Amino acid sequence: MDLEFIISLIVQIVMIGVIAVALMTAFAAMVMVERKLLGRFTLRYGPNRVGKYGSLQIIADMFKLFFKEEVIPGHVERTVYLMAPGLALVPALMAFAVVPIAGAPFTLPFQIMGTPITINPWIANVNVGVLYILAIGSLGTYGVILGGWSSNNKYSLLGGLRTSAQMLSYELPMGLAMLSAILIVGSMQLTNIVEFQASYLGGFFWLILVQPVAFIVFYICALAEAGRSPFDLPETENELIAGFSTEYGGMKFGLFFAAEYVHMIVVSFIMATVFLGGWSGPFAQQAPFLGIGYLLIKVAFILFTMIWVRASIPRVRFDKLMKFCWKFLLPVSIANAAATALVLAVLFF
Amino acid sequence: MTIEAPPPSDNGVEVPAELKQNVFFGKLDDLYNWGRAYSLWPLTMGLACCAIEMIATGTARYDQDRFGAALFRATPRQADFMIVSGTVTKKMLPQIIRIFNQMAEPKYVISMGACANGGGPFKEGYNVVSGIDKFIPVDVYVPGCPPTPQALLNGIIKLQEKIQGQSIKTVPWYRPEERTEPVPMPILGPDLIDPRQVSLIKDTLEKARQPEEAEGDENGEAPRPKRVVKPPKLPTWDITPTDEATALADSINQALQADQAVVPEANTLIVAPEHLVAFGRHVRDDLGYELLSNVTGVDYLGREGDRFEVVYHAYNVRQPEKPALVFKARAAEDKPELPSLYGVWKTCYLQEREIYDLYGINFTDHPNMKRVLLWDGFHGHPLRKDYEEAYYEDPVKPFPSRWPGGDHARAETRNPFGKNVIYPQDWDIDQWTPDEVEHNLDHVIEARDIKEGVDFDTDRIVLNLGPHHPSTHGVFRMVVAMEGETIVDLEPVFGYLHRNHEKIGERNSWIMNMPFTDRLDYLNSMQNNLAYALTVEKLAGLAVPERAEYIRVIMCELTRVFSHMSLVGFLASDLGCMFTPLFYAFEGRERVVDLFEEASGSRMMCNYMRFGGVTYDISDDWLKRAETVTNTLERGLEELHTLITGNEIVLSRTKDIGYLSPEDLLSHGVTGPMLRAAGIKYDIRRVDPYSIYDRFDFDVPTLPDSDIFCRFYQRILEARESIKILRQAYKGIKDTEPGDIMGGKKGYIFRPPAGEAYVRTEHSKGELGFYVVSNKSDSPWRYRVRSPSFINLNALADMCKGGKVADTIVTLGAIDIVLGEVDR
Amino acid sequence: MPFDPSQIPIVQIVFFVMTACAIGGAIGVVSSPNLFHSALYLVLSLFGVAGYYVLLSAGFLAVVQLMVYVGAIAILILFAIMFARRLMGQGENQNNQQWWLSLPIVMILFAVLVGVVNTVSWPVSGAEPTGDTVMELGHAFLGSYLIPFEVVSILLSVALIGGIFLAREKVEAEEA
Repeated sequence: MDLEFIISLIVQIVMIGVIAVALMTAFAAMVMVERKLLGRFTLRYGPNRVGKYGSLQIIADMFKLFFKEEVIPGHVERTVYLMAPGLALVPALMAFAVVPIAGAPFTLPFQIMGTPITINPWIANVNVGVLYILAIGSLGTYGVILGGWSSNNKYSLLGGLRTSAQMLSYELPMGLAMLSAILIVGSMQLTNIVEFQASYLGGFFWLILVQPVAFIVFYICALAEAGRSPFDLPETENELIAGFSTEYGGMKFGLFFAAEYVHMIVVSFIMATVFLGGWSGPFAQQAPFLGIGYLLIKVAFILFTMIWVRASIPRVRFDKLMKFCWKFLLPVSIANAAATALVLAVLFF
Repeated sequence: MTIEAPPPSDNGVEVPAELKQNVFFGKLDDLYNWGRAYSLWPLTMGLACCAIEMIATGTARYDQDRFGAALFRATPRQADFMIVSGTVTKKMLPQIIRIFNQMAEPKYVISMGACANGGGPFKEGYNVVSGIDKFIPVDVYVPGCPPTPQALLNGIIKLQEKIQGQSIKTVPWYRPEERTEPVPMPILGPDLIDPRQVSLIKDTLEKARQPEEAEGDENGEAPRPKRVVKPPKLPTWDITPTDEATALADSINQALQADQAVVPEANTLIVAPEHLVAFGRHVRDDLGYELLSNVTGVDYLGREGDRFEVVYHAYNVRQPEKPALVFKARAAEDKPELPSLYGVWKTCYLQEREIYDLYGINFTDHPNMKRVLLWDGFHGHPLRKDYEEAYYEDPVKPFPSRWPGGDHARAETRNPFGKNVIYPQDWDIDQWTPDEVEHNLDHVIEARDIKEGVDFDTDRIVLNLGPHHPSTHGVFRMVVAMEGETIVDLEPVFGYLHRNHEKIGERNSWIMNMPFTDRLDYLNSMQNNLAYALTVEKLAGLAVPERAEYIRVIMCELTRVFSHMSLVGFLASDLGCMFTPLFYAFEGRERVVDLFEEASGSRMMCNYMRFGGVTYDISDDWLKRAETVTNTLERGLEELHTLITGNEIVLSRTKDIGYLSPEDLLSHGVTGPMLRAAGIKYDIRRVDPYSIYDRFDFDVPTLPDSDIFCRFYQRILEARESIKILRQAYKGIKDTEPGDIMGGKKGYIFRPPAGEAYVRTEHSKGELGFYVVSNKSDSPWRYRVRSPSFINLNALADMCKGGKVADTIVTLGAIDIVLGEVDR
Repeated sequence: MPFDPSQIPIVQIVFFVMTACAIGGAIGVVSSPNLFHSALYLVLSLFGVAGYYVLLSAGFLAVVQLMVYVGAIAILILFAIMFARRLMGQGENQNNQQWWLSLPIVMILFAVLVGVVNTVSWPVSGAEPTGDTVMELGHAFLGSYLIPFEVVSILLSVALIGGIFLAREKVEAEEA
């Protein structure tokens, strides 16, 4: 038992490491893809000097950032200022823990000290997974708020203020959109949610089909949570220079930069899992690796739409976002949740 | 930042450990340099004309991003290199140096364009720094005025090459003993004071204050030839009043119940200062002259009687057939003072401040009589005829005095800060402390004294936007007082691109001003050329051949279409649309500037028109391609229209934002598309036709709401009309004689007859007027640009109050300013 | 004795860390001279409490603690503090004129609490924690504890409406 415990612990730690590295790699790829796509959207090529098709651009950027002088301006709140970039990145990575990336555990083809190794396709299968995601998502805001406050700069402060206000606004509709999905599945565990979707209609009973409104609300809130255009109010280059990250440079800015993209990727994973059937698809039950492929395709599609939105839509104004959230999204999601509950009650009781 | 080859390893085989280290460092160097060379994040900083070509470098045809060098960062903390793109003025210099000091090592500087390299055409101006390299280290110089995008790309590649040649072992920024100290900040005193030159300034001041004979040649150098100052030739012309002027003066005198309040002179009225305000009220309310378009000063140095004159041009917008009302007021030399007309026309807010700044005429009862283009502590009033600039040498500057005896030494190498910098007589650099007030944000806002009625308990934030800000369209600055995010007050601050256009214009010969007009509104050089050419033609009575007229119209309307398209693009990016619409608009611009390049030889600064015609004829082939380009432009315009106009977010961000009533707009002197977007059908091409605009069939579109959306949509409507005009012009030009492009007789010296002339044209941004006074000599006595961008900004504060920060950016964007024209 | 990893008192270690967070944070809240830092210490303290819930196998409560207190209420507090910009970097005086009065009161309160904790015998249930706490909670709220649940919701609604009422009043007063 002891040996098994140790091995499972090690496997778990390795798994966390692998996922973190994978997410950071995904971030690098994402930045690359985004720059290439934005280039194409604006009739350009985008980076193409380093690596094939400019594929090493982000590596060069990271090298540069790594060697850049680390300036700590004299007027900042030192401790908080240094803490903020980490606080932005870590929760973004943490939220990924509950996402199941495949249908069944993998068994490695070899044994360590006579013990067969099975790897779960998730890091933690929390029974309140959905709530966990929402809670961790709200923690991610701290990095931005603390960065904005500790910089002791008016632009940063406004960026931080906007983030906190924005955060309070979109949390509720996001939770209610999730609630509509939970009501149908009857569980907050993400594995159950995916299995539910996989078990009807030959694996195509995606929740987006029965909950399109919840999906749209969630998508909008996800853009806001990841700080993506048209809700990129915390940075708003045109008004606030660089918003909360105005006083950050070098690797510290690199962390903020990474946090934004990791956040966006994780949110897409969650969206794909809850509304687009996660790993489900033909033969995904039998061949778990196929499931990973399906999931990645879905995630890639969501990410593409996010970049597309960024290239084509202007930014909403801060107070209009609040109005939109409280006066439109919230009532819509409440009505949607109530209607779902009502329909379910009529059908099943 | 010097390039040093890594030290050669002298002991290759014997000491393998050392070799290993070298190999390691060699590899690390490669990696290190590769990362830095291909990840160059530029700072978003556009100073002047060059910034437009800098933007163009990022667009489709050139695509700076290919080199990994287009992730523009707005904050210096994240940027790797700074493109000093354009004229560096003394007022702007401290901000540039502060930004440079804030950048993290390793940092690089590209000096782009003639002005940043060495002062360029504006070098001799009193507010221009002749070369940024006097203050910050420059890595790559890009020549050109402005450099083409290819040249800038080449500059970036050169920078990459330079980086590739460095070694991590020798670069200075990791060695504490070699690290460069922050560049000392220059201070704005009576003139720009470089802290490194204090002792030099002291010496010169001491010398200058000693009696004349002390000026010697202890270094063995020949003393500079003493300047012979000829007394200026006063402009005089026939001032017998016309019948209309006499009749008008009589009726006004009657209405004002004063005997000699108004005296006619030629076709203008001379108003006695004590009656000026009453006169203003009367002509505005009773005669309907609601639009006071141009207010400017003239210095008649050496004239008998009052030395200064302020000239006003007013128009009746509701009855455009009424003639222009030109009136003047005069002020004495010893204590120049006039009553302010701010209470009658709000446009005087900025224009009178400008006169105060440049002529030192004090306007009583003006709410904020402070300098506007220069800084508060500046010594002297530059447009006075007896003011001399730092590197001033001769009234007309061609060769003899500049290179005496073939000596190519430049003025500033003999004297690094300019001999003619004027310091006040009692000024002592040791006792003097810089005026901190200039940097105090609250002060700027308090100046207007509108703090009354503001609840002090709510925390007001005074936020500074600019002069280095991604959305101020150049080096414009706004100081904004906010409660939460709601704007309670706003004060624009100008002058960061004040490159002394008018002073230089009064020293240049008449034709030499033509290329300078290109650099006013550098998106619209053709229209500027036209306005200046028309003014001088009016003064000299020159006729223009028909073909030249057609060519002028074609050039101007092509410019207008592009200018409006780029406004739409810029506005969209102000709204936060990535750069997609802007890049689409610039795609159209590339095609237009290709045509311009072929016709005139330059993409942006065309310098194409002459008094009496244009420089070069255009070919049939050119015309054919111009027609194709026009079709492309039309498609591009419609594409932008479908992309933006119907978008919900755009509508919610622009509808009912920045409203100002048509009456207020007129009072502020706002003209052009902004006025028409408020429902006033006033287009100078229709009401006061110039060139051959009366031949074309086009509408003057108007929109009713006077909000941001109308201002934006108005541009699309007007660009469509321009395309209509273009099509007619392409047809019309076919009936003209090729080659017949210059009127008048050719000659080397051009001296228009003495007199004054004011001509206004419908520029893309509003009424562009030139006011010139000639004394029948080589250069104008007075050369004034009535720039629409500057005067339209009068209305900015009123439009922004009550809105949000985000609205301010968009409101400014919708005014469509070009800083070259605002600050001149 | 060979090292036996299963003997590591993980639960105890986590408990002490969480306690340090909760109590240390609480002390930080009252002792920090900077208001913003106080708010951050409050967040730390709330974190510690969330950790307790995890140790007690009440995952649902732990996550709700994070979401509501750390994710929303603390952010609201920070938001309010950030609006009052003048507080940045300035130390507030920790003592006012009544500190001598409050000191004995607080000490008495502490003594009473210690006494109560020590005298009451806390029953320890040997039952395993239930797996699906969400379901259980739902049944409890809408079953045996329906009345208290509803009373609490009415109380909260009243507080909410009261808050809105007060805010409205002020706006009108300002306009007048």
